[in-house]
Amino acid sequence: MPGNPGNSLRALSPTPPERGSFPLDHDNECFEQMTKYLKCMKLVNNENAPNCRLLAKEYLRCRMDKKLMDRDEWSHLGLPKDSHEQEIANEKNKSPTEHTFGKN
Amino acid sequence: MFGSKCIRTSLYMRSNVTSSVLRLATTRQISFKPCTRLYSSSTPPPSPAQSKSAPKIDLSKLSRDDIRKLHEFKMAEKLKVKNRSIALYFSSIAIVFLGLAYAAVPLYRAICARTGFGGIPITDRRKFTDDKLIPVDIDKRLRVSFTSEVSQILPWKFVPQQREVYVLPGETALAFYKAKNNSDKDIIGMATYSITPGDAAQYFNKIQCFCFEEQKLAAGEEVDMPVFFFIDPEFATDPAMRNIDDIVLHYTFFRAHYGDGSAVSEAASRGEAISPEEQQKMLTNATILSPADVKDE
Repeated sequence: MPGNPGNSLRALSPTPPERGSFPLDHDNECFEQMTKYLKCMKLVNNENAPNCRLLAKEYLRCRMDKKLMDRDEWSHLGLPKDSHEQEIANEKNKSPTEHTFGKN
Repeated sequence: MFGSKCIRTSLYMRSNVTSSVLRLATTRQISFKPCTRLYSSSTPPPSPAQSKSAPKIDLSKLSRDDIRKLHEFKMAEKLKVKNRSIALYFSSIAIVFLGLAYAAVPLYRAICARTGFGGIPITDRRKFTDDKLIPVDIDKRLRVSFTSEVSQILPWKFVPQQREVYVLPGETALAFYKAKNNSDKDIIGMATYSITPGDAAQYFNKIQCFCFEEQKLAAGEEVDMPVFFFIDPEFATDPAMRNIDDIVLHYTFFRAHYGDGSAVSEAASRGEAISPEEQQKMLTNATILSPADVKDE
């Protein structure tokens, strides 16, 4: 239901973070990705531009590789898919349309 | 001439009733057959008055004693049926309540998880589905500012790495805080957060952060803590939120301390596994200190 007025009581019951807590990066393993991201954000005036979001994706990918974060698909994290994943998705989308052309 | 009538044999029939019925059968030329059909409430037993209209038993020919016995017999039958139905009702009610008692445990858990009743955090996964992560196109981006605070007794330096982020509802964003332990001891801290304005808090969904869990920093260690969050797309369509375009995320770090006076158990500081009993003891004793509690450190 869009815009449910009168649900101010919802604010009283906090929701926990979906994945809980990030494990701390004690050894600074993903330090470079983080600095790149922060530099990008400074350049864009913190506008959360698409290219900065790609750098955020790189940071999270580094975390996943170093086992500091559970692996998950980018779509679940609201980030754009990788290029080779996009190709596979495009191939899947193509085949049904080819069938309809065959009918005509 | 008088036809045949079925009669229900009952364990409770007394012998004189049986004999009188038999006498009726032989002397009044009425044949009684055992009823094979189950008694149903929709067809009431023919009362003596009714049986007059459909004459099977000629009541004028029966003795008073026989009438009384027949009446008693019919009453006993009715009572038996009534008792049986009452017993069935009550036993079914008992079974229903027994089933409810068994079902109550998972039901209660599910209701509490859904509504957050009694302080149980809502683990409603529907808040974090993929379709919620599609950015909504609005004119002006929402400004999410980051502030931080540290408890007085926690010798850490805790600052955000960026002052603010401009996001759209439904767009995930990453933000960093940096914490440095300025003391010469390992310290465990715990962070809590708050959202201002309070009405916007219901739309602020964190995918992953560093709050509500103990974070241990070694002496002199500096670490970066990320927060990955998004604002629910329904924010854009809520009329109560139309004037809100500035949200502040505020983190406060407290010191976590165990009641027996140690900041961390010896086993944990050595990196060993803590036994379940010790864990339980630590959990019951764990408190978050306020400045008044600490004498000197």
